[in-house]
Amino acid sequence: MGEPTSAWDQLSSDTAQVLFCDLQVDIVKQSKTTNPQALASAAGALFQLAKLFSLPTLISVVPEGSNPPQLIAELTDTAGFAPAMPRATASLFGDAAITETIARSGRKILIVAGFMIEAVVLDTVLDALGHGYEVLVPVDACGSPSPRAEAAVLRQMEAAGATTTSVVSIGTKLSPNFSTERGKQMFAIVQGIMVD
Amino acid sequence: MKTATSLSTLTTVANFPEHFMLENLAVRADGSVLVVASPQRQVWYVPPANDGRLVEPILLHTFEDGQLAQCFVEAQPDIFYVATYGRATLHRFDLRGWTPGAPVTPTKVLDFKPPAGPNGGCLIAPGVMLFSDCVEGLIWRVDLSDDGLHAKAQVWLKHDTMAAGAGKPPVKFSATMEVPFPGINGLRYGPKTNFVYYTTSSQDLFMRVAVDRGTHAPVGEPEFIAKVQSVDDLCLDENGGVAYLARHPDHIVEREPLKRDSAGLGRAIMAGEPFSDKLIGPTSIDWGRGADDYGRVAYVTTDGGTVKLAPDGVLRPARLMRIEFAVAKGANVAPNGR
Repeated sequence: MGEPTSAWDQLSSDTAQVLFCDLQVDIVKQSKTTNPQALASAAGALFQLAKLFSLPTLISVVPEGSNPPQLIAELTDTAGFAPAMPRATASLFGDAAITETIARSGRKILIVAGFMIEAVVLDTVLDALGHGYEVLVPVDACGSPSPRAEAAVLRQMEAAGATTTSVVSIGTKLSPNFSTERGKQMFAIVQGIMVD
Repeated sequence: MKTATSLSTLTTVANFPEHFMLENLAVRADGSVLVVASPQRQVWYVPPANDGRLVEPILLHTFEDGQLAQCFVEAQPDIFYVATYGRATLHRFDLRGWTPGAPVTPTKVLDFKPPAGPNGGCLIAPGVMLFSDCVEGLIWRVDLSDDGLHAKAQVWLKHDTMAAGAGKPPVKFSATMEVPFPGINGLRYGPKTNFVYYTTSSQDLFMRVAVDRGTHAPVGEPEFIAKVQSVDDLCLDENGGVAYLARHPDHIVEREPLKRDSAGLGRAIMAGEPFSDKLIGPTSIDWGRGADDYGRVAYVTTDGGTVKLAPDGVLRPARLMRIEFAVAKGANVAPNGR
């Protein structure tokens, strides 16, 4: 077997970090491709996996008028694990504080989840690839108001070099042996994902 | 204990003994701070100071004789590499799961080839670090092995603007200890602009050089940004397009644009003018790690006047200070800018 080359081959608890983009109550509810509850469930499972495998995790939020951003309930139990960082740019890489936080984690594989896939997710994925990161996009933890737009974006991201996948696939790749304690915990997390 | 000027507010986080030469710091994700005391050869842990009260530093490690503790690079979450000067080495401190009071056993991962003098450091890509060499006047590239327990060093860039001495006298830490006037000193990577920024104390320079994202090699010649008197370490605010530089013997923290002739925020003295007895001998600066700290809340190490006494001639304790710059909270975030 040769040297691992793809993001998928390289994915491990030592190489990956997780970015959640704009998973806020009033934003996620616009999803028409992934049911909002299913999207929140998958994102919550990804968050639990990040905790289980100690993956550096960043939650990016955008202001909602004069109100503070309200994250989906599945991401609120951060307990200091993941900073919720505000930004005013389409891409997470448009914000220097976030860019630095991502860089200083020293992790090359980015798992990017969020809403809308044709805006913040796409822009972040393309910028991440430009910065030299490898990118995985779990599509069940993403969504769009438009099925046609989402289909186009998925093709665009894959053509650019990103790998589309799912939260369950990421969980089983991180811990392929279900008989270990970690494997059992991973299995319990992904079993709880609500099917769209 | 706060000192407020129009541009910043200073709060003492922790006191260290007089004559301690605090050289560099790293803010951890939980808000605690690691500090090196260079000639004391020590690495210190400063607990988070969330309520503004003074906290008590805890000694983490003392290096062997001849190994002056110089700087930190966090290469993975809570895995720090500490470079030493004199007997130039790189040690790995794995603080994952560490609790205050527990012993720390660093692992040496590299001996730099003499007469190297690492001073500042930064991470430019996963597993790839740079260290400024204030003795040889160059930048080292250090590549870590996959397990992070071994490293290889090679010269990344050597340039006239990095040279030591430049006619300036040696720096005296005490009656018996002095070092050549450092050349290249502070080193930071700006991942958004994709430049490495550096300061050269001997030549009062603030410079930058572009980085190839694929090979992580320097691209082109270093660019002059500004002359900055008595400059030491720095931190970057790429959102604001500025750097904050510690002017060590001038007892000042200064702001400078990140590129020459910038139309954005300009040069300004952000702390230490008018004179403040809270900022005596600022040596290094790093941003807080809170979600809204970048560009607003920084931590600064001071030597209390060990290298140069304050204008009032009083030697003070070395300190870790918190500086809050006068930037409105969230000021960089426009309403719903998607």
